[in-house]
Amino acid sequence: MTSKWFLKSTGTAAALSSLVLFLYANLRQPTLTEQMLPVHLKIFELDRTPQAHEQQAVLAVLKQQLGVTAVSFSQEGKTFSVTYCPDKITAEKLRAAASLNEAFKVSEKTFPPSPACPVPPLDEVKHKVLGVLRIF
Amino acid sequence: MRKFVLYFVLALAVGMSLTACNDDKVLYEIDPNSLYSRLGGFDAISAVTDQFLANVAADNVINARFAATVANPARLQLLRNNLVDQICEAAGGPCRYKGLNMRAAHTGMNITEQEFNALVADLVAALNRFNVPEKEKNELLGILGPMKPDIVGR
Repeated sequence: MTSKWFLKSTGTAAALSSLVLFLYANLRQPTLTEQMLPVHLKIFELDRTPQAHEQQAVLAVLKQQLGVTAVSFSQEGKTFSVTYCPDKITAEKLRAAASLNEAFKVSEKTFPPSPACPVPPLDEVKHKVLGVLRIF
Repeated sequence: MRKFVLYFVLALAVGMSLTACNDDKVLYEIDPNSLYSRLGGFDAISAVTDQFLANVAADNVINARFAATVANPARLQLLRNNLVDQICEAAGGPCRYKGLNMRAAHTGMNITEQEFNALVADLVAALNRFNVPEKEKNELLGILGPMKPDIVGR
């Protein structure tokens, strides 16, 4: 009797919590920043330092791509980064566009491990859960 | 069945009451003379922020610090949202910064003066890219500058 009651109340509480979370995710008015389209950021490296006109050409071709929100070159010119909407363009297409028909070999830049800005784990979980539950 | 309806109504009521809260100051009346308005509002701030992030990622002095963020879209999204909220709120806009305070966020990172200056230069370059006038640029940097002691050498 007790275990049946326990199972029933636990099940009800779990169902109720899920329903509340679902309602919260879908009825809560998102903040201005939450309404922004998500972006990805990639850092690429060219196989050689481009001349000024080549750098301008890479910049121009990347800025023309649908979904690209920002492009930046490093001072020495071999490294560049792109912020883009992943729903509109892929990193592979960006890499291909930046190669200027294979005039450059473009690879993703890798880094050794380094201390990073801490992101509170709860924020990351909340962001992911609300993103999954939000359908409207 | 009656119990289910009761639970559903209860869940709906809890959900509705939770959603009555909003993290942004939506009812906040935006001063047309505020820095937020003069910068061009929310869309302009988010565009500058994307350019700022791209500049930082391309900056070989500091981009290794952001490698983990670049590799993880959820972290990137949180950083971007926090940056936009921080600039928007500091400029008098209808946002609320919800991230860690600067000291807590940077403790243990041992950020150098050179790295901090590189970051500021990347922000200035982003503002220049969007032709933000000198007055507004200095005003924004004046608001963000005092954060330096909480960021450098922690």
